[in-house]
Amino acid sequence: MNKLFPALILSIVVLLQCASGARAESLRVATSTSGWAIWIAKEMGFFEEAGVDVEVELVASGVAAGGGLIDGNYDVATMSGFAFVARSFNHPDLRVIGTVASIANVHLIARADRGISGPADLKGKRIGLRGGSISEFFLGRLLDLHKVRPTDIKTVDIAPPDLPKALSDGVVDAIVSWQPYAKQAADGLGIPSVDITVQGGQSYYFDLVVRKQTLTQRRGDLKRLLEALVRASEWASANEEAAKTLLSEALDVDRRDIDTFWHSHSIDVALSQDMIFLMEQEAVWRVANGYSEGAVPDFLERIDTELLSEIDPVLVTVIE
Amino acid sequence: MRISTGANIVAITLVILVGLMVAVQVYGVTTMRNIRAQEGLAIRISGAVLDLSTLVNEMQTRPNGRVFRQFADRVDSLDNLLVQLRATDAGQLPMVARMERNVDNIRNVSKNLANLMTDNGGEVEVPEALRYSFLSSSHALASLSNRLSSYEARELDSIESRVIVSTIGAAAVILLLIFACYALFVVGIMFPLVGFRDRVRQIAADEQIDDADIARSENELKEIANDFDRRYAAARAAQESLKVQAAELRRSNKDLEDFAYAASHDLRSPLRGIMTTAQWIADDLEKGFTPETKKNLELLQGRAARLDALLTGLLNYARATMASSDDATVTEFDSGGLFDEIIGLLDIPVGFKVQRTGTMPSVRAARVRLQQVMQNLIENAIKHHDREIGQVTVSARRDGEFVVFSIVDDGPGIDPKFHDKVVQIFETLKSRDVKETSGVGLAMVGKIVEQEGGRLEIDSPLTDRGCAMRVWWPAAPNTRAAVN
Repeated sequence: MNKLFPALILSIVVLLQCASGARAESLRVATSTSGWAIWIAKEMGFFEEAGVDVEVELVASGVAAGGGLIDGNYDVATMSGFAFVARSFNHPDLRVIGTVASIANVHLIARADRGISGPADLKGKRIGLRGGSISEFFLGRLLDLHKVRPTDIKTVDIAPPDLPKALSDGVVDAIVSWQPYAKQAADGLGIPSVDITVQGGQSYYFDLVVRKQTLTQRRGDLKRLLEALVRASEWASANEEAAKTLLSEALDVDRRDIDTFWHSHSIDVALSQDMIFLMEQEAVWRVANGYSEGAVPDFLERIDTELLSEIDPVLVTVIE
Repeated sequence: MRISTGANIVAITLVILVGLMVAVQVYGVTTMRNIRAQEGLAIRISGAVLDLSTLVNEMQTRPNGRVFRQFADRVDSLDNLLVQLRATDAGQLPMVARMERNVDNIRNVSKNLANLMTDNGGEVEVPEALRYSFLSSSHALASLSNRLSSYEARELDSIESRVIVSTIGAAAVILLLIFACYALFVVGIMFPLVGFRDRVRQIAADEQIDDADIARSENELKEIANDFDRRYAAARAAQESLKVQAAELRRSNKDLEDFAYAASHDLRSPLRGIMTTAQWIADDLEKGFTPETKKNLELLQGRAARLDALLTGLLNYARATMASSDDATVTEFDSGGLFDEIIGLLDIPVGFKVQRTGTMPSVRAARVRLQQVMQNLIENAIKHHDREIGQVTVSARRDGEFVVFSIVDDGPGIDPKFHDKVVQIFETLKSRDVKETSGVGLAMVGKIVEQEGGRLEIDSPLTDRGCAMRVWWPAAPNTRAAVN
């Protein structure tokens, strides 16, 4: 009995430490400057109020966030739907639990002095873009709509930050990119430019992606994370000017740029049917253009609608 | 709280509450109308999207001009619905903006289809790119309009709840306010009025009135009650004063009657003597100037001198009892010094000794009037002494709020049955033919002492002779009221 008692005490202490350690484990979230809802929730303290410990890490892009998620460095990563589709061919364990934004910011900026005034004038032109990105996907859709074959143009793979200079130097006749590079390209051109919205009216989504394992093990934390993000979305909608100021300060971005991009970047935590349709188109396009191999995944299975439905069923319009 | 302030607060609060209730109702009705309109538009947009999807499906099997026209018309109506949706001003603007972008894309699809129709002469197969573009936007539009519709339905419930809660809350506050008004009315108005009525009844019945405050709160009724109490107290004081004045008037009338009697009796007596003597002289002169005539003339002179003395005494009495403002000037002085001054003024006969004993206190009084009193008493003691040798002793002591002056002589004394008589004007204990005196001195002393709030006490005989006149003089002028 004399030996058993200290052992029992020790066991209890160890168990308590394990329990407290589990409670204290934070949710590691990787996001770029485009994850506005996450930055608002962080700055406004919505995560703490929702009862979840979130550690937000700023990454350069959704590609970097996705890589860190697969490597196990992060529990949650934000990325465009297109980046998720690219990963989903080889990583069937990735799941989308919600969007954080609906974005329509991909533009084609063309030099007017190269005879470009509309999509039909792109034939025979050199177009700079990030190869395999959503820019190339939307450009393909645009060309398709205007009956311009992909072979009629010449695409040049250029890193997004270098696109404005490539256009102003005349290396390419036009560029296709998301913000802020499209605006930088137009502003820095010095001569008249043509701005063509390559997305049409269709937005792409910025998604919250987790691994299936995390979804199982930390479902409660993920639900609280989503609750905080829904609250951030509602707060931003009701306090537009305050949200702009907050983002400008938190992300160290010029307030005028936030004003410019605000209407093409809708903070929206939801899961909608058109997102699946877009993913499938993107997947088909990737396979057709040799960026991915294999069968197009069933994206309905790659989306977890239950968490968001539990918070607010109105936010989920996926047909199940 | 003042009644006027309370009434203003209640009125303003009621106006604000009623205004708030009206504002809440107006806001609720307006907002709900807008939301219902937006919800209806969202449902119609969903319907329009469904129609467009149906027409796109139809295009797969019957790609003719009629289907394309219907498609274009439906896109126009979709445009119109979006314009109306924007105009409803019911919020959810980010979502509306996204819907507009999708409708823009559908409109582009429609234009492309129209161009294809024109290029191909009426029948054309819808290109896959256009179909995908349309489906992407229509899916997004359908999702957004469904969400919008759900939000609006939820918002309607929320606003209805808020309007109901705020209306109930305002009604509860109004009820509380009405209760508070009633409490204010009862405590601030009813209770004081009942108290006021009871007090008036007590006054009417000439009962002792209750000292308790009629109104507890500081309001207009309390002011009225306080004013009433003050005026009632003033009226009572005036009534008491009138009683005192009436008593004074009665006493004054009695004095006047006594004076009139004395004047008619005593002044007429020497006059009758003068008239008789004059008659005698007239009779005598018919016989010639005889020794008898001389005696009668001397008698006539004596009566005239007595009349003069009486009139002088009367004048002194009148002057003393109607003291001038100079005589009534109050100062603080040493009474011993005053006594020494009087001694210096008197013509004291040989064989008489006037002295003071003990320490005489300082007093605050009308010095001239005290001097008149002391001087008359000392002169009186000497004048009515029945021996060649006599002594008058003056002393003073403090007794409470009075200084008691004692003038003690070793004369014949005054029989107690004449103590009241000697202080009446013109009264003399001996015939004026025996002791020539006006009979005014002690009367004047008594009057002055009384007017100053003191009293004159005669103690005589002390053993078998002697008389002690004690004057109770107020040590300070305000003692007079206490004595009265």
